[in-house]
Amino acid sequence: MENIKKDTLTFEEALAGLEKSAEALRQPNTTLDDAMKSFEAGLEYYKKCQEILGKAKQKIEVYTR
Amino acid sequence: MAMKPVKVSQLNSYIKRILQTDPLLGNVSVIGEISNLKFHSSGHVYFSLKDESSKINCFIPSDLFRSIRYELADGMEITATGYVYLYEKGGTYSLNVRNIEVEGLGNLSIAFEKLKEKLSKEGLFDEKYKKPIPTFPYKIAVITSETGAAVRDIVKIIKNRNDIVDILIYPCLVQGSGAAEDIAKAIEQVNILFPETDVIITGRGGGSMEELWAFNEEIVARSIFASRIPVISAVGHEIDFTIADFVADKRAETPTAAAQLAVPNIFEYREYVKTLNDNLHKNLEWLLKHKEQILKGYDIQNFISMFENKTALWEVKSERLINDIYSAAEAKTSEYENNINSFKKSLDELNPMNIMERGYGAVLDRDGKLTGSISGFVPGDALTVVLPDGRACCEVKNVRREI
Repeated sequence: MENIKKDTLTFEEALAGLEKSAEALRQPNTTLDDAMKSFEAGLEYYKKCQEILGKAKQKIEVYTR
Repeated sequence: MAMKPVKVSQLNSYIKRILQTDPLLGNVSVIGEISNLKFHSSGHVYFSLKDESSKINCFIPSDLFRSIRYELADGMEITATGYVYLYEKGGTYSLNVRNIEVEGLGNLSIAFEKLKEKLSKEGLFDEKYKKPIPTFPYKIAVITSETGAAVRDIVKIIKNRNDIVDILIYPCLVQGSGAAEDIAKAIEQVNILFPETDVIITGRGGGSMEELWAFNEEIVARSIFASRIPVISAVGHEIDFTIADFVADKRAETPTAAAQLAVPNIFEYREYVKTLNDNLHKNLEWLLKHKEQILKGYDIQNFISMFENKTALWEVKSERLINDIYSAAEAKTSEYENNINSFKKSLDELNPMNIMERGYGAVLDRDGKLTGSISGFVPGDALTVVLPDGRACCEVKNVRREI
């Protein structure tokens, strides 16, 4: 199980992590231990995605020379 | 009025003064076709401009040639602007060119193809230099005219798709002389002043080939190539191909398409992330149910009856084994009994007592050994005769050997 570097994670990495976590839980032979780890990791990834997607602070500026 | 004879140099010097003080010849534009184009190793460029009946030598000094916006070729019709210059030593004059304009699709296409070939040979269009466009940008720089249709389209599309990414509009000229330098400078400046920029979009709305020409100039191509930040070109319409398109990391057919390429749809991502989170929970629930089912299969009652079945089976098996052992042992015992009986019978048959009962006796010598022969007997020998009910000590009277 990888350690989630929360601060340095890019959106792409967080999204891929979330996809992987959800997918891992679809394997019937996943152990309960691994399942809980995947689930917890998935929650972390989800939080990271939400955090990035939540920053709707678009700035539109015209550079003046 | 006749003039006094003058020296050649005096004449040439005079003509030069006349020519170079003439207000028209000091700034003249000439239309003609290029021939005898020569690039000198010093960087100066020589050619002739001609029409159907006449020609004039032309010269472009190397420092001015660098700012010429078009690749030149024999056969191209151009408008050259400059002043008439007299070379005193040779008594020849030429057009000293400061600027060249090219008009018409045919002439522009020649310049286009020449530059395309040149840059292609240098490798500026090579796939290996193309930088990937980031999939999740935080800052986009738009280098175009502040007042054009392109910037409006780009901003509109980005806002429709994404409310996170910052947009920096870096205004520049997009047509006419000076536009190419402006665009090139802007790309360089964004790289220096806004290094955090993820993608640069540069382009403009549709127009004639002349209007789009800045994006066909070498200086723009070189600055796009040098940009550390990935560049998306977005010039004119689908059908317009420019040199900038070839050298850019990605060509967008239109400014609208560039905006779609440059930024992901955040609103769709938000939905997708929600769906993934739902799946995460649903899948865990499903997996737990699945595990529960398996556990139910391991129920204690199930286990007991399974165990009972097993022990019953083992009991039957062990009984059968014991029976097998018993009958094998019995068989062995009766086999031994039979053997013993037959040995006993043989022994009985051989028992000397039986013979004695029929009247025979056994004769033992002095040492108590069975004799069975008279040889060695001498009168006076003490013998023992054994009969079933006892023994008798005897003495040999005489020995008669039977023949």
